[in-house]
Amino acid sequence: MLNIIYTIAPIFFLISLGYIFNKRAMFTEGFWAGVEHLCYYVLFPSLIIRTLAITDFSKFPALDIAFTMGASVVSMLVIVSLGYFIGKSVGMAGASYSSIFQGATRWNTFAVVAVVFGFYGDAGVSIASIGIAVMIPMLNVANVTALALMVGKDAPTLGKVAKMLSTNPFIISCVAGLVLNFIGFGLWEPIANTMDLLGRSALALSLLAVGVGVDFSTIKSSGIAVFISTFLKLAIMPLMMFGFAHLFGVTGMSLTIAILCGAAPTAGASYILARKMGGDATLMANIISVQTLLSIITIPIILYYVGV
Amino acid sequence: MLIILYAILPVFLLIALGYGLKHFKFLGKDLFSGLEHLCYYFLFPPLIIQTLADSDFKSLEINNFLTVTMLNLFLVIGFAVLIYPIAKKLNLNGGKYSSLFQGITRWHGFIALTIAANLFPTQGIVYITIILATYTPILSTINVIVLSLTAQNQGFSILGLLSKIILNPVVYSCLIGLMLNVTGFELPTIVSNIFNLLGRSAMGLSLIALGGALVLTHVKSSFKIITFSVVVKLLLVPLSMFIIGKWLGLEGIGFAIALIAASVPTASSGYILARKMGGDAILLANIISIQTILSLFTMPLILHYSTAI
Repeated sequence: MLNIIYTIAPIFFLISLGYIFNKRAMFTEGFWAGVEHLCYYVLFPSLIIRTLAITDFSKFPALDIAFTMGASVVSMLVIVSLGYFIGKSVGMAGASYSSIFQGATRWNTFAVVAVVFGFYGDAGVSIASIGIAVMIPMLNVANVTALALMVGKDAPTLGKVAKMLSTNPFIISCVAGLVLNFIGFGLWEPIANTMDLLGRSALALSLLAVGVGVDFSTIKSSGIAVFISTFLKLAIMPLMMFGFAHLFGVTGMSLTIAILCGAAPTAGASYILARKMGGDATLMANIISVQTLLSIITIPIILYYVGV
Repeated sequence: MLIILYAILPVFLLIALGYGLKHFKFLGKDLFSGLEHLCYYFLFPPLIIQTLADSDFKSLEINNFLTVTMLNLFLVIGFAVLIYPIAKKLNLNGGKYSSLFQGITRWHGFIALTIAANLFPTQGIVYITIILATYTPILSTINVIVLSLTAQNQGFSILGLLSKIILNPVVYSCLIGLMLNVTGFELPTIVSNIFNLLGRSAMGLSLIALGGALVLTHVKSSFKIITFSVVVKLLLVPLSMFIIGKWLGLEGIGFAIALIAASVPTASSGYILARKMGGDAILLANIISIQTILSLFTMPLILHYSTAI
């Protein structure tokens, strides 16, 4: 338990620091927008490419981990898709439900990678990267499609979806890192060192950015929609990871990381997508804040029971 | 030579990345100044405090190292003061002289820190932090005094000077770190994990910020003065460090670190000071930029020919 607190408390501290920076307006809004882009386009890709390029995959049951994560995501997608019809029958607006959908399925990759790096270092990041490679494409396609169908605005064409996936920095970095790994090229030492310095900056900076995105004023208006989405994400999703991990025989560090990928709060980027595609952005902001705060309690509890 | 290049290249790749990102524009202009601020007040202090608190000074050859580095610092400051009459004769105004002074005397401690950490993962950081602890108070004092006396828009006050020195995050972090070290007080695990998380992001981000701040707009109009600062800072300062070190018999890692500290370009933080206190900020920005770029070539050569790395 102490081990968990020692790792989670600093992360909580950094998120709080980001929140305070934002509340006190110690940096401009333009700065935080820049930070988010820097993390998304430069720092995390460096971290992912470097770790994937140097990982010895024969040490992990990579395929079993991939199946665990994939099966959990598919199950959750099926559940929330069916839920849409229940929502519709009780008169919930499609825009609102789309926010529940995003809240229940997406995950804050930044936070997971930061936590996993804290526990397991490079090896942990490699396994989390398997999650990135498997989960992000599925979730992106599913969420964009769901939003289009539920809100009824411009449906995504195949071309649009392909473009969205091929320009996602997480996906590009996973592919680049894996290619480097498989052709056995490795990375030239100065480049690897540069990426190491960049990757190390990613964790603290992205946690600060998570804190910047938390807005307490939205939490007061939380209703049943927030509750459903949060319960599915923070409780059911990690449980599914646990179940499928059992089924596929994933244990130890890989099991913990799979569960963490499931237990993470929803992605901050959901808000941007909701605004862009006509979802309920206010509700989305509310869900993000509630999940981020609650996950600080739920993740240590889950980790404790898994036996880290 | 290869080892030195491998240690120095990442620094310049990051600076180049910062420069490229700034000019690519999609990250917004607030990012770079904000990063510098973040590093200066929130990321470097934890790194410095933790390094100094955890260092085992007994295992290092501190005395000789301190003598050599301090002697060189005083020599450089003395030189920069002595050229004042010449600068005056050449019609250099106070603002320009103050920027030249900053460009010659200050050092980019965080470039030195990154290179030292690449070359000597454990001891390198400790040695550089020792120089940070000794140089920073002296350099900020003397530079603030020189700026007050030469630049136009501010008078000199002891109180203002003291507050500038004590409120310098590097200075108070060094004090806190040394106090923790001397008293043997160990940071609680949670605090040291927080410091770790913050401190480890400092090096990469500060170099990106430095790259974003590079400007080469007015180089032509002050070509001579910039050239002079380059020759002194990138060639003469390391040369005198080399001579003093040899003379006093400094060897091994200590000698290599002293030379790294002497061969880095001037500090980027001088720019803010120049702008606040009426120095010639544009000139200093150019001096910083040219020195930073040229040090890519001078540093490997100096380190290769002067040390056993």
